[in-house]
Amino acid sequence: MPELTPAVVLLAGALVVAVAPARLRAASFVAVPLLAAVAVWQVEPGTSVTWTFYGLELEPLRVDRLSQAFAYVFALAAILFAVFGLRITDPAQQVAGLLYAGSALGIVYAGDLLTLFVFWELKVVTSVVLIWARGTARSQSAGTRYLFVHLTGGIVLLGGILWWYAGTGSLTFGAFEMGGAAALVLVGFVLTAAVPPLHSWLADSYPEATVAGTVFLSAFTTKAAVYALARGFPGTELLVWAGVAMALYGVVYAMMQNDIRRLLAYHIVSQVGFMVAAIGIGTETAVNAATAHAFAHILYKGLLLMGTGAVLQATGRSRLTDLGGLARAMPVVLAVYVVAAFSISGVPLLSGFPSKEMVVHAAYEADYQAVVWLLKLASIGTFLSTALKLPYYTWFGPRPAGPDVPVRALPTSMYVAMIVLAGINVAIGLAPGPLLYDHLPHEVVFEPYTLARVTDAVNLLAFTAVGFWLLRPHLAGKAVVTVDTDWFYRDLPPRLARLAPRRRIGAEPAGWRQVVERLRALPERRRVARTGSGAAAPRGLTPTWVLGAVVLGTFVATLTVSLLP
Amino acid sequence: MSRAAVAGLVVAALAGAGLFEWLVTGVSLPGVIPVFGLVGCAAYAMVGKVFGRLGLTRSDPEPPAGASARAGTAAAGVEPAAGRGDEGRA
Repeated sequence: MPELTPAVVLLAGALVVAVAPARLRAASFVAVPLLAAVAVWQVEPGTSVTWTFYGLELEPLRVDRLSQAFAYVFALAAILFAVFGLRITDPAQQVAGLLYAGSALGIVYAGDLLTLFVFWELKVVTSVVLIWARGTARSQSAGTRYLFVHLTGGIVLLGGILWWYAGTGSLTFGAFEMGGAAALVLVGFVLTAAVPPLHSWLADSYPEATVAGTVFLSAFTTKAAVYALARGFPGTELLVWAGVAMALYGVVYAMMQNDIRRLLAYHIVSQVGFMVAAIGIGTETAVNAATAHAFAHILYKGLLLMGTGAVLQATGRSRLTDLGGLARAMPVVLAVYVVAAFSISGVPLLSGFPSKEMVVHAAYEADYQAVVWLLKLASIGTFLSTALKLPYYTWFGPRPAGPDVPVRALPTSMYVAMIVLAGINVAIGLAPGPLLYDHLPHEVVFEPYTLARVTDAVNLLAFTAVGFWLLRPHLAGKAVVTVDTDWFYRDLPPRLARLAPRRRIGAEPAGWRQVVERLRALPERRRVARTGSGAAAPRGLTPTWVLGAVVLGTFVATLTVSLLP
Repeated sequence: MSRAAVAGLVVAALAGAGLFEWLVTGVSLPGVIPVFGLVGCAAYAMVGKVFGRLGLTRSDPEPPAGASARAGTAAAGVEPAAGRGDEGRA
């Protein structure tokens, strides 16, 4: 299928799934990503397809080793995640999942900025369905905020693309020269990569998605942004320190989380930080390392979220303070979760070790000694919270007070996906050469399994475990929520609205006063949504904002295009 | 086990790890990595207090799950299997 991007297989397949009869839907939900994987396997680096569209030279398919590395792992993830969600009876989730995976593939194969932007926005509108599909008041509002943030980011990205085109006359997606236009594009990318302070959408929305939806979300959005950064901004010094800040910020916030899926969401921020730092370093080894870590991260993070999703699915609970003592009821889920948790922590012989060591080696090689130690510090926190705290208090910790936690059985397909994914993580750890390094953008001259590296990793993790055992009373889950940068758009507007003059009794609010009144009502609506005393999702202002943002963005984009020479 | 005994064991483990590191890799400063692991862990254990002091935490507004949690419904649309826990895999 050389004339079309393999993304088309997933996009068209999603339509087939949408109209398929119920008994065929599950089979087609898995068959479509399998076909897409075949299409990805068939395209060769060097392939290029160009179209002329209203005088613009577009390149919807450009294949090189960087795009192919991401495409392989996206295709693999789509298959396994579809198997995990095989028993989903909600067609909207299945269709959205495939469209979302297809848009991610479209991004990595896009050779021009306009194609990139189209798939970028398709990714946003399809992924939000996976959040909304949970059907709770919290998921409705979290999804709306997700949409608002990403559409805003999309507008910034579009502004940057149009400015870049106006300045250079080219839409080719390659390395940017820093300037005003490139800065806007960079903001669009780093927002999607969840670089603080533009990261809080991730921890806000991912834990509110459906069980299968969170698994899909963990793979594509931030990693598509990592790909875009690797393509557009390798060697940008700012990204080194942004990445280090992400790695530590995510880990520190993860330590405070009581919700197990929110804890892992913060670890996405942290792990993407390793990739962003490597892209900032920008050497061939570093770009290889970022790609390798993205590849491994999609696989172990998917498994981590499958494990915690399985706990949520089986018990209806996701807070450490509500969980405990599940080891007997869910030993298989515990086993696969531990494989993933040890992988993300960089335990030798698992997939995270060869990729994480490569990132640290790239920093060492480029003489970023501080980065080396700060990334090691982030690794300590990762092991502490994902591999020690979370499994200890979920599977081994004391049972919560009150009646026993009811544990329902899980569909077989969930176990199949988790066990296969655990096997892949082990296989990559055992044979990183053929399974990982051979698919990276540049030739790899790095050996992860040296005595010094393995000794370092084992010593670091072993003494972190000793520290956990000694300090575990201080590390138990607490019934608290944290304040993050989303405070600025969730809590600040109602607080400011309280300062505005109140309307007279009996007078109908109008115009901007109506906006103020609705802002004032937000805390109450949020309370109702949280306590469950109101079943309806919050309505009114937030969707209006989103609609307004879309209209405004479209207007600005149309205006800008019409002003272009 | 008394605190002194625990401290003694930890110091002995650190010394052992440092010695092993020095023998195997010949690093000039053996024991730095294990100490870094312990100190890093202690630093993360302090995060809760720091967050509390900075006003970055609030009580969870949601009540404990109790009997209200409904297993098998959380995934919105995932068809539950029969059985309990891992039994459903058969």
